[in-house]
Amino acid sequence: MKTNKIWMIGAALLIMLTTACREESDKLITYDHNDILAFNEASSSFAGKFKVTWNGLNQYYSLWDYEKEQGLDWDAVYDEYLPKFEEMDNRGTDDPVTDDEMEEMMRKVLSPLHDGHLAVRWKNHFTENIVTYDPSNDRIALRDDAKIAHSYTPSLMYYKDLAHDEVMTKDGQPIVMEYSTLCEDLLNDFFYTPGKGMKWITAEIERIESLTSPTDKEKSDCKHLKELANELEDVESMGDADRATQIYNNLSERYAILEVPGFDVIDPGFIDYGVKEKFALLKGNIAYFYFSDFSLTSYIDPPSKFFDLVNDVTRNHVGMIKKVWLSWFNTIQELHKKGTLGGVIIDVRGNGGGFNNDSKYVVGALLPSGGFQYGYCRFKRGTGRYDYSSLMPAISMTMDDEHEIVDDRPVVLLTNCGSVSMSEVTAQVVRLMKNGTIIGKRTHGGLCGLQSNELFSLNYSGYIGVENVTPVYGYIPQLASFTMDMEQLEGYGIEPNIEVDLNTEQFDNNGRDSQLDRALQFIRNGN
Amino acid sequence: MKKIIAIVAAVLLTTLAAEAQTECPASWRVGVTAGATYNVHSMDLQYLNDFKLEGRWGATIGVTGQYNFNDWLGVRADLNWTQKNYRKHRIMLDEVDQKYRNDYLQLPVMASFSFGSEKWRGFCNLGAYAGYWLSRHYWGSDYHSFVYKEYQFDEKIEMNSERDQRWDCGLVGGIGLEYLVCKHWAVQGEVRYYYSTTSTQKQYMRIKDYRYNNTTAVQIGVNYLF
Repeated sequence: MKTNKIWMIGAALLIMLTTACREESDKLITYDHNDILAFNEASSSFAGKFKVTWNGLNQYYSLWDYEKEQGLDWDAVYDEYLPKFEEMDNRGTDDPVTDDEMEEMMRKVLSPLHDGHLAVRWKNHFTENIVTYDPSNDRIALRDDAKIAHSYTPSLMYYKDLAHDEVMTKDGQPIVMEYSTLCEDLLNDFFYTPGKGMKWITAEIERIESLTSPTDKEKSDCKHLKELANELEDVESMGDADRATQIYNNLSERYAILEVPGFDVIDPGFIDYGVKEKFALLKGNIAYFYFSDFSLTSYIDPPSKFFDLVNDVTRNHVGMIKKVWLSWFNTIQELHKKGTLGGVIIDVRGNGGGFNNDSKYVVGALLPSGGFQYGYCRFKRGTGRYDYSSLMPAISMTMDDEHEIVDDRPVVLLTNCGSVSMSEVTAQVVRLMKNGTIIGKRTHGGLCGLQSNELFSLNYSGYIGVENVTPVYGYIPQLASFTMDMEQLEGYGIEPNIEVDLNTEQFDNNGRDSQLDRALQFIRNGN
Repeated sequence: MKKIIAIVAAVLLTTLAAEAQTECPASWRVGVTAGATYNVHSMDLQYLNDFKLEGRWGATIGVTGQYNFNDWLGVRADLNWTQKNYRKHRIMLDEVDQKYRNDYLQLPVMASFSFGSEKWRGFCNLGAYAGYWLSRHYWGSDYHSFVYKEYQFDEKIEMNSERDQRWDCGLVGGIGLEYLVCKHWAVQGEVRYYYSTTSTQKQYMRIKDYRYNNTTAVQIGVNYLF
């Protein structure tokens, strides 16, 4: 009897031991920094680049449930395309893979993804070139306003002409202010403004060459001015304004001895934080404000973090940007207090986004302090595709300092398919305001936010690799965005309340802006 | 090899049980149990360096039925509602601190081996269980890294049919002590361990990611013998 008990207990334990198996999870690595183990294969293999991209997105991307609803099977993408990338590797140096071929394969893998910010860069180890693919570019190319949105900047040329009676005046002058610290505008100012920069160099060369007896110094200056002019011609024809600015700055320091008027170093901060602004007080006391990027924080909050304010020229540029914004803001404060403000137009057409904090200075300057909830957001909270945080309120910052609350006059936001990221956050706020209206065209569809990889460990998700360093780089958002109704509009965008096309013929002829006109009509007439 | 050993052991157990059945008269007991659970959730945290999983207490209540073949061997089945709770938080980011409550309905079926005197008997239960994940709820705080603010929440988590494995099964074993109060009533205390062999997460990705519950229950029960 006792023996049977022992046998039975033993047999039961044996069964339990043999069936007590638990599976082990796959081991994952992180791709957030330049790490030899993570990127070694990718540096010389297309299959390696694909695996890094696929795994990095699998671990960091925050929209997998949304993509599944759109019909994407991410595992099937791996099964289908890994063999194809392995075939590319087998071709070797005898039949090297071209940049176009690599880009086409990147397109096939990534085009189903809807995130509006997502961009992936691979370095072709045969050509040493970096190829970028951005899925949203393909989607936006199908929009009817794609070409327009990317080829023009709002203009006040028509409206500030007093003959058109569209602008308020002070002392007989239109109340209009415009300024730009965009590198292309600063460079254009150098190249095309009479009396300074390139125009001065050309004139000075002509003057010296016309002298019958130039001094030795004049001969030397002329020689160096010609050298400088040649180098500057290359800068002028460069398509990449950031690269052109770096070379321009280098020349400015090398040729400082020539004392060319207006040949000042462009602060490197303007490469990242340059902005173009336009303010006008339009007829009916309508305060119009256009800005090209959400970079206002760098000029207001405090600017010494972003620019070299010891330099007089830089300090002047920064001061002017702040002045334009302040003119718009103070005009609203003054007119609203008096009860004579007609309305507000904020123009974010072509604005690709930027600082979250900028919200305080734009739509947040019209709303009560304490923030404005415009939707919900969630973050990745693990390595699994569906590991997410709970939904948190998505809050747009509003101005903390005392200011007028503009809830009794129309506020119009002008948008188009070039309105991305913070422009779309602004659109979400405006459409929830009782006095807010969106006019123009549907926005880009890039509502999910990003942070630099210095902040990677806050959410353990972020970019793949380091730009221009690792053979694979992925610009990936950390959060998923939802509207107040729990809709996800990523890859689609926000529809305007009133859809209006830009009449490009009219705009090119006389600068008249059909979208701005519609906004003015809406504010003045109520429809 | 493991399969062969398992099959041999199962055959041995069955034949020995059948033999035991002929030795002495059988008896029934039915009862209720209640107690506390302490669950630890285990998973590979990969490179989430400062995430920590900790165990949490919960509750269990249920009904039990046992058929004794003789004075040392019986088969027991319970039906209980059991909580498998845990805590997930971050050591370097205090704002992320979440407590999970998971409610399961479980059916453990065990061989029950007992020994001792008529009044005081020790017992050992060994077997397997099947369970169903009824619901999950979590509360605590998280961190919105874009506005640098802590966010408090307390909400039910909707089950995701693609991700969540609602069926649970595994091994169960326990030891305890029973006191015969009178002819038909007994009270018992037991420490029991549920070892889940089913991941709480389905393998919905080609990347394998297994997550398991490990639950200890400390419970008392009242049985009616007949």
